[in-house]
Amino acid sequence: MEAALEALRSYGLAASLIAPFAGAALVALAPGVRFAWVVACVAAIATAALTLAVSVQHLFGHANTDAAASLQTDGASLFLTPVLAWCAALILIAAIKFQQEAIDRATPLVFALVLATSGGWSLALHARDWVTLLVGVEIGALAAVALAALSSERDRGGLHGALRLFSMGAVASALMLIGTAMIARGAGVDALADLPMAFVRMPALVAAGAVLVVLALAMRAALAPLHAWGGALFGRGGDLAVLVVGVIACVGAVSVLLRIASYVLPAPALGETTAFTLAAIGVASVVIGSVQAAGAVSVRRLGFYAGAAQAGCILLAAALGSPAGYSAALILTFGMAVAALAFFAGAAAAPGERPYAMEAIDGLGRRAPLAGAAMAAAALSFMGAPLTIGFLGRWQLMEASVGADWWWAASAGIAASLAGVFFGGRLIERLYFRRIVAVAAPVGAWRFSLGPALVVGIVCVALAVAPEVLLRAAGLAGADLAGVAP
Amino acid sequence: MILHAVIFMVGFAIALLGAALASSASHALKRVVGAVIGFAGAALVLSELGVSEVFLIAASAIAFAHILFGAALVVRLKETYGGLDVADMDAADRESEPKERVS
Repeated sequence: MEAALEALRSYGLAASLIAPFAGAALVALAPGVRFAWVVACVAAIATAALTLAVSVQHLFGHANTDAAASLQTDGASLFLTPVLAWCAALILIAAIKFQQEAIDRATPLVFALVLATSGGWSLALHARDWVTLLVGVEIGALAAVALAALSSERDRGGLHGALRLFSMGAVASALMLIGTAMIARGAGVDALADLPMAFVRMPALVAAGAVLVVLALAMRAALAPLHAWGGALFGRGGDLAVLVVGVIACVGAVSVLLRIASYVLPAPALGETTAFTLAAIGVASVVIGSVQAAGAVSVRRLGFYAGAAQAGCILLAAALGSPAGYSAALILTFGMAVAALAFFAGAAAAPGERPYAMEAIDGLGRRAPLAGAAMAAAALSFMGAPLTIGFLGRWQLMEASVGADWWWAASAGIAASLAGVFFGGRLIERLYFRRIVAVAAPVGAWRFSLGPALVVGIVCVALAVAPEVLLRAAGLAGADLAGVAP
Repeated sequence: MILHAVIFMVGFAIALLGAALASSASHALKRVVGAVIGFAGAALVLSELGVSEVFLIAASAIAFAHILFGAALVVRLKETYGGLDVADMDAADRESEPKERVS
């Protein structure tokens, strides 16, 4: 037992980052769709278990980081990597249901791309320096583009969505390359952890670089108004692509943004500009995302815009730069991930020729009770209803905002909840109080593969009922991000 | 010193021009060309800032991967839509766009 713990302490982090890529390589080479799916699920679950073990050991056991030269752990990586990894595992378990979205030959590659997306964002969350971070972000982002393109067999609109995702990704990559180079040059340090203590020779250059990095990641995280790429993909893309982009890619980008903010905000001469940029994008995203969600005519776009509003709240919490603010941001990010998982997995169960249309979910709560319950739970979380994880996150945001005299940030959180009542209520009305109109096509037993994602989504949304462990982990991770002793 | 600043500004302007083209061009191929221009501008800025060789190699790999993905996407779009005009793709998608049912 002691030897196993020692091995986990020494190699756990590296193994948890290698596992998804090794699994992806095996899956891509695997003969047959079902065999590839089994291998992908095993690799994803092993990765998720490893990341959780490493995080628990580091967060609660205060183990020393003994990572490889280009890796490092901090509050954001320890708290959010297991969230991403478990979401990826649940999506992969459900992925067999979507096998008709890609041609048979490409389906194993699609499973491998899910692993690569998750692995890329996890690598970026553990990067010690800018180059490793860039590589991780690009692996995650390009894998998502390829996944969106390959999952367009059933509806060519998905390919158009992939083009939009690619265009945005190229712009974000160019901005991020320039931004990171400006920070590295102006501050004279390559490692992220050295930034807060660095003697910044060219503060204007570094501040401009930080703004470019924030903008680039905000584009990838679908923060309004930089989220124009999402309409096509979330309107007509394949269900699997929507799940992966909506849950792993967007949450991964927000997580990396949160992590970078924690290093840039304490740096002399940078904190003010970065905090202002984060807060400005955050408020814009809350307002625009909420308005768009209220007017959405596609169920998946509604989830996408609601996610943008939630991501805005995360940025507002991060902009505070305090332990309470980081703790709120971590809880909100967790809430965004699980609500998006429940919402998009539930939406994937919608029947009919146009499953993305609003009318497809009419009466879904009676036809598919578990999927309906998952969507209703996600809607309640998006609106910040009491006893949901969304409420817990918004409450923490308000506490942290009021503590820092940022009344306007608390007001933005309340505005997001009020708007959420409108679109969430509309969604629940459609789920439970409308007549079923969509004609269900015959479905196979594979539809049950969605079950774990739906159940876990509902349970995690309801974690606010007994949030002690989650709050403790977020508190420890938030204190680590703020550089103070818990 | 002034020359360095000029090269930096020119590189940045080229990157912004490429970004604008990549995000708003009316033709899918032009979007990929916009991405290439954006990365060329970024490369100019990076070399002017004197970043490490590892950084430059990573940037080149990222740019190359994007161009490869973009080219593959253009081929698939041409096969699927029969053209590369983004407005035509929008129109084709709009034909089957979900409409609210009047109840």
